[in-house]
Amino acid sequence: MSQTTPRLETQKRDKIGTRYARRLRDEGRLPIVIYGHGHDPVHASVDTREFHGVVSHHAHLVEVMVDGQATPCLLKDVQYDYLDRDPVHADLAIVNLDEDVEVEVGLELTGDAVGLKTSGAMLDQLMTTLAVRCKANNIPEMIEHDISALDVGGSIHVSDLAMPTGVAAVDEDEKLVAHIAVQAEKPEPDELDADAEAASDEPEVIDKGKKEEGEGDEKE
Amino acid sequence: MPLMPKRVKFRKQQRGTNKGNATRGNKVSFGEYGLQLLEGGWLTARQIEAGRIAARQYASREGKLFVRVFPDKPISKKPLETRMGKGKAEPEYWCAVVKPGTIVYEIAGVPESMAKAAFARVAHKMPFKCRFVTRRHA
Repeated sequence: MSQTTPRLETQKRDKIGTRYARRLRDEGRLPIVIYGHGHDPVHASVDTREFHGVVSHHAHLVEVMVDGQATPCLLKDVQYDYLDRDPVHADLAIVNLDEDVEVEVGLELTGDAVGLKTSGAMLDQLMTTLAVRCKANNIPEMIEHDISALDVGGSIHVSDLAMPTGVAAVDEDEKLVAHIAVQAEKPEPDELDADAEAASDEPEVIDKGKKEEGEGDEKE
Repeated sequence: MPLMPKRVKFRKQQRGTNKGNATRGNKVSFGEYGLQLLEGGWLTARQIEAGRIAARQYASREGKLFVRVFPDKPISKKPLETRMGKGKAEPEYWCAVVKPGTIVYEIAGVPESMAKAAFARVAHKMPFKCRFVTRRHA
C-alpha cells in the first residue's frame, strides 16, 4: 500500500436505516457501506470532514479497516444532498491492488488555446471525465491535456489524450473531448416587449383533451 | 413570444402541491457553472426570460448559456372586477414548478469571475434565494 493512499477510520454500524443514518450525520459522521470480493457487506461510518477532504483531493483509492485489517477500497459512489453540497452516503468496493479496475477520472484541459483569441470563439468541452482502465494502485488523480496549440475549428479526441503509463482509456478513440467553435451572431429579439402582445397566444390542444373546453365558457 | 409548450393535452391545470427538494436537475450537468435555487415555487416564463436576457447581455457573445427549466404549467387568473364562479378562468401565464436545489441556468466557456457576475445579475431577477455553484469533478 502506497504511503499516499489516504486512510479512513471507520466505526461499524449496528443499526441501519434512514433514522439511524440521519442521527449519524447529525453527529458529523457519514454512513458508508463496504462490499466486494466475496465479503458480506459491512455497514460502517466515517468522519464526514475527513471523508470530504479525501474526496475533494480526487482520491479514488482509500484504506479502511474491515474486520480489523487495513483494506484498500475503491470509492465507488458518493451520494450528495439535494443541494449537491454535503455527502450523505458512500459506497466503497474492496479491491486487490494488482487487479485492473475501470474508473472515471477527471479530465482537465490546461493552457490558453490560440483559437480562443478570436472574437466569439468558445471552448466547448464535451467530456469532463474519462473512463480509464488501470491497476488499482495506479489510478491517476486527473488526466491533463495541454490545448495551447488548439485553433478555431480544431478538436481533441480521446485518441489525442496522452495517457500515463499503465493507464488506458475505455472510451472510443473517436469520441470528441473538446473543440473550439465560433458562435454565430444572432440578433436578440426584444422578447419582453413581445410578451404583452403575444400573451393571448395559446398552445395547440391535442385532440385527446376536451375539444369544446374553450368554447364551453362562451356558452355561459 | 413567451416560453410555453407548443402543444398541450389540456388547456388548464389545477394548482397542485410543491413539496420536498429537487432530486433531479440539481447538478451542474451541461456547463461549468450554474445558478441553483434554494427555495421552491413557481418560476414564470417572464422571470426565466428576464434572467436569460440578463445573463446573455452581461456575457455578450462569450460562452454558452443553458436554461434548465421550462414553463409548462398554465396559470389561470380571473379578470379584475369579475364575480366569483362561472367556471375556471382563462390561462394568464405559464410557469415552471421548481423545488429547492433546482439548477436554473448553466454557463460554459467563460471564466469563473464572469460567470459569477452574470449570475449575480440573474439572481436579482429570480423570485427566490439563489446560489452560485460549480460543476463537481470526478
